[in-house]
Amino acid sequence: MTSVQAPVLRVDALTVHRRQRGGADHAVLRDVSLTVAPGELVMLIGPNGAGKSTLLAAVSGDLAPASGRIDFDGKPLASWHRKTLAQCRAVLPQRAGLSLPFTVQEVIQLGCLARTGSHATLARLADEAATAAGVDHLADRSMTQLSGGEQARVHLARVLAQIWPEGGHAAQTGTEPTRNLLLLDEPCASLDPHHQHAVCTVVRDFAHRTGTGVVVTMHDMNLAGQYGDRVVALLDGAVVANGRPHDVLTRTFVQQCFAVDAARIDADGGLLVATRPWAG
Amino acid sequence: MAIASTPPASPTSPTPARSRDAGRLPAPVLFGVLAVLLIVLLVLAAGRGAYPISPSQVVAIFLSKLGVSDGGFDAQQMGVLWTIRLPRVVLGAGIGALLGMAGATMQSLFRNPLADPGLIGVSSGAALAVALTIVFGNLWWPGLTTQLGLALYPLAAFVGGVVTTLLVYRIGRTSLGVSVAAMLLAGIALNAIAFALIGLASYVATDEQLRSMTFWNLGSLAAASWPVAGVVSAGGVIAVFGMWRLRVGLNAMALGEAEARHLGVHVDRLKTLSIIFSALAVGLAVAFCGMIGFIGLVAPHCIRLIAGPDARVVMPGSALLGAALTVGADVVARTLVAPAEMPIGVLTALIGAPFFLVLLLRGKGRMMEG
Repeated sequence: MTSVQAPVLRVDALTVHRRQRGGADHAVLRDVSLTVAPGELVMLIGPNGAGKSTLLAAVSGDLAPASGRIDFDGKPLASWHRKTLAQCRAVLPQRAGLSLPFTVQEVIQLGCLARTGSHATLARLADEAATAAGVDHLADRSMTQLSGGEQARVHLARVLAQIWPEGGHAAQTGTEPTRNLLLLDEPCASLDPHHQHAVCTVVRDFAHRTGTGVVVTMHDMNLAGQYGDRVVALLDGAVVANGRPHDVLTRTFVQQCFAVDAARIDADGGLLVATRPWAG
Repeated sequence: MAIASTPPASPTSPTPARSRDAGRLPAPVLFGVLAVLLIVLLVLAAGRGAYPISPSQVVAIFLSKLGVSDGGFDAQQMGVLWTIRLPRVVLGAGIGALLGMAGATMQSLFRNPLADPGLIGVSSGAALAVALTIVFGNLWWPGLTTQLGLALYPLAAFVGGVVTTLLVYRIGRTSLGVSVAAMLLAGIALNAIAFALIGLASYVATDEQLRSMTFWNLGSLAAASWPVAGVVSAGGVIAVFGMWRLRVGLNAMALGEAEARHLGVHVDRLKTLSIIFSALAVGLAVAFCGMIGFIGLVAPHCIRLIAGPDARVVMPGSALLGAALTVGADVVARTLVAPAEMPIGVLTALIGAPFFLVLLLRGKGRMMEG
């Protein structure tokens, strides 16, 4: 992807503390800097507790940083109006719950809450997002009747609907690209391999087609390597690698970062990463 | 680019199934049925009592008041209907609507379908505030009762309701919503404290104060009069309109607080307004009719079963059903042990508590997680 464009997201020297039981502050993110260009899919990888979700929470405004700066589309995140922000930035949490038995269609339409437009337009956008996420056939089902994987895809459809371009399926080439941002926390965690690839394909195509900057936290390096335009690795709250998947996901790096034995196969479509327990 | 709906190789490719949600009743039909039910109950309730007036006579009196027709009833019937029965059924309908809508609002706010103003202590908090005002109000602030008149008790109940709702919310809140266990336990504790203090207040109360206090413990519409019905309607319009404006944000709250915020909802304001308006609704009910429990639990639950959980349907539906339930319960309470009168709060508790138990048992495993 081109990186000459002004970034849609710029994180500068971000430090986030978490208060521990004793009262002492523990830095969960230390001096993290990151930019995301329009239309770029950034895969955020790292072992458990490395700070992936914390970084995403800080960027989505759920966590206040101790120091550093987060700019969205050139303006400090805190200066954005709630509603305007909701019209160009969507967030998918790691665990999305639902306290009442809404139907799939109702949940996806909730994604359009901050959007302006006629009821018919919003319903069409929600339908398009549902089709993209492969949950259109579930529209009338109650969320409580769905499997965990199906629910995850419905919530993906909901956040897609939030920033789904009005142009719909038509190619966006020639038109001004959106300055949108999509943040996905572990969107593939509860999915079978077929749907993992399906979701990654949808998200990558969405990013490239609409010019939306996308940040995805991901445990699966195989998926991160195949679909990411860029891979950013976090370890102990700091960025330890940032670059093209091909350059970042070397065998040695994966072994050191995740403490596993790894093998890498450079297939014609992309790269495959396989892991097994550390032998040493 | 779309994910294939039925991928040939997918192990979890879902089979298209006709769901029970397709059987949801459309909102206009629901509202129509409930409105007819409420009107029929109002006419029946207005006629029942020690001095019976037939439904046709009730309608005839109404028509004559509107100047449409005349005759078919005598002046005494008209007097009884107009000064005794009508204020009572109007008050009952108003209180029921407020309780139903407040229940719907609290359940969305607490992200929990079991939140009921009575169960979680909001009603008793409001009742405590009223009891304290009756017994100690004139001691602390001489002339208080005469200065504020009919507005005094709703104001006191409103303050008591807001404080208790805030307390329960603070105690029960977790990142995943309000924990049922914590919420109900907080309700038990707050109910116990409130009843102890109400007991204390009644212990030191004068005979006259005691008489005006007794009916709160049980709930009754016997205090009905046109001025009371007027105050409840005026305050009720504010509460109902206030809660109705929150419907979209409350729908988003079903996804979670952070998710609602990401969708552009001003969550803190939504929470504050939900607490204020639902406490106003409960406060009005408690101030004049005492504690009438379970309407706020039963009405929204039934509407959700019939028409789905969308607040835009549940709120007006719960108001209509709550009104119908309260008017119906009052008729039963008045006629079951005639000429004596059973407190309506006892009746709603007798019917509502088992309903609550069934809900609790059905969702036991899931609900205790929070």
